[in-house]
Amino acid sequence: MKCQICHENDATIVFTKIVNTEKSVIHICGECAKKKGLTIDIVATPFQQDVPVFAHPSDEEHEQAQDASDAVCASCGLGYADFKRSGYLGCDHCYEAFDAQIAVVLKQIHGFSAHQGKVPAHSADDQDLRKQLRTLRRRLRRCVETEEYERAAELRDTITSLEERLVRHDV
Amino acid sequence: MTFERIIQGVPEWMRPDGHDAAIVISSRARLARNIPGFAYVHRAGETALAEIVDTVIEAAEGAGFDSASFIRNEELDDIHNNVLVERHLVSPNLTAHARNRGVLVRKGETSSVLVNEEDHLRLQVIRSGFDLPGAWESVDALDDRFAKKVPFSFSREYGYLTACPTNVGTGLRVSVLIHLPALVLSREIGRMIRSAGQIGLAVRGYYGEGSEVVGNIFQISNHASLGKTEREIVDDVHAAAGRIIEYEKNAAETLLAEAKSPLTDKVFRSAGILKSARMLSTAEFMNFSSAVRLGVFLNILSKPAIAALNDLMVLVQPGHMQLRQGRAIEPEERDVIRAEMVRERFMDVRV
Repeated sequence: MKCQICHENDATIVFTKIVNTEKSVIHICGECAKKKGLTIDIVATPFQQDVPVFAHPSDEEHEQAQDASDAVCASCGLGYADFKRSGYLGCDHCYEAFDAQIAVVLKQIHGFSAHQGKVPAHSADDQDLRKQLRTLRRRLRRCVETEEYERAAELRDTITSLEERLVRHDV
Repeated sequence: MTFERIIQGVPEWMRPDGHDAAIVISSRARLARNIPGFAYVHRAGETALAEIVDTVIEAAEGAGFDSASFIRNEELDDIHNNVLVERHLVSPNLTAHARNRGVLVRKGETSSVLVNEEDHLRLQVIRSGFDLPGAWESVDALDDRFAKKVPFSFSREYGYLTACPTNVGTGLRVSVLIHLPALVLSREIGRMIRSAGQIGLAVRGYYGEGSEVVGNIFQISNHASLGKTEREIVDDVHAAAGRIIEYEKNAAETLLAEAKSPLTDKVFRSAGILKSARMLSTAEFMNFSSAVRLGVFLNILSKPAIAALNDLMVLVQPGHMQLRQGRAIEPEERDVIRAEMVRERFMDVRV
């Protein structure tokens, strides 16, 4: 069958048009389909168009999000603008540093902003924790010796959080 | 070398012994996890990345991996790296030669842990056929075993923290790799994709995010990872995928009833080409193989076995072919070798 638009090329696409309840079918070629913008080439295109159901953040939430757009994470130095550009956060602390905006972003992506699932089995044996602490303290000493102060600061934070856990386990 | 010891033949999850294996190739569950005290991978220095690798390897023994099962990315050339991508063990983003990155993998390749890709850890379990609950339970247990040895970044409010906020919360992504030729042939696929989107599912290509759909194989997964429990996510995707499987079966039966001659013609022509072609590109193989798979499902063809089609789907990919030949091969020569491999497996197929 020839294309019903140009009447030259072979028709390769069946286009079904539905207006109200009126259904009409036309047979067209790829070229004309492209010209008319009628191609939805589902099988050959990469699928990136995820269509989630978005929950809309309130105006107030939006304002909050706008406010702190020059916020910077004190821990890793990532700016909120960097995050907006790349879509990636820099470290765990970014979630706190950009807290007001993150809640809005999460609601847009997931429709929710609070976790409902699993809580880590942080019942790591205290022995394992102690062993891990020893390793971390050793690494910390090495970092101080080699003057890698930024890394040392990170390690100190980790050590503090592990020590807190150990104390909690002891209670 | 670790690679040769572990990566052999066809992954266990490619054996079509699971539920609905003619339609659902595999079911996968993965968890994104990070370790507190380290910046996320894209912001971390090499020293930090090396420490993460050490920490994960140390923890791996207690989690059922032996420490020698870590395949280091930097030791791989492009061909070996492509093989891992083709086996769905690493994502196409993890390029060859990157330092302090890699994958922990157990023989059979049903369980693996990707280290320092987008997140510090990505725990993954893949099962044959339609079995999302099984995949979830396995990855859940694997997660518990690691959590006893390594602390994971977690906040009461947002759950497990991840580099990209699209994974935060449960960190869980479950997906099925599903073959839907009848929905494509009957032009129902567009509607299916739109309605999948409306109920919060993402539809992607064969290698996941950003990849193309080849051979009518789609990856269907949850979009949101926050705000629902893991069980709810698993059950929702499982239920939706179950309905899609039913649509596909119905569409296939309808085609057989209402368009028997064109359908049978398509199946036999495709089998004929695979049985006799002297050159085949990967895309051609995937497309003809799709029609043959549908033919086997509808008993239009008695052979080849689904297992043979699955094996070929793994083995005729460019990385695998070059690994087998032990050298880089130009696409044209690959097409010749691919056609040979396919003809061999189609010898007893009668068309």
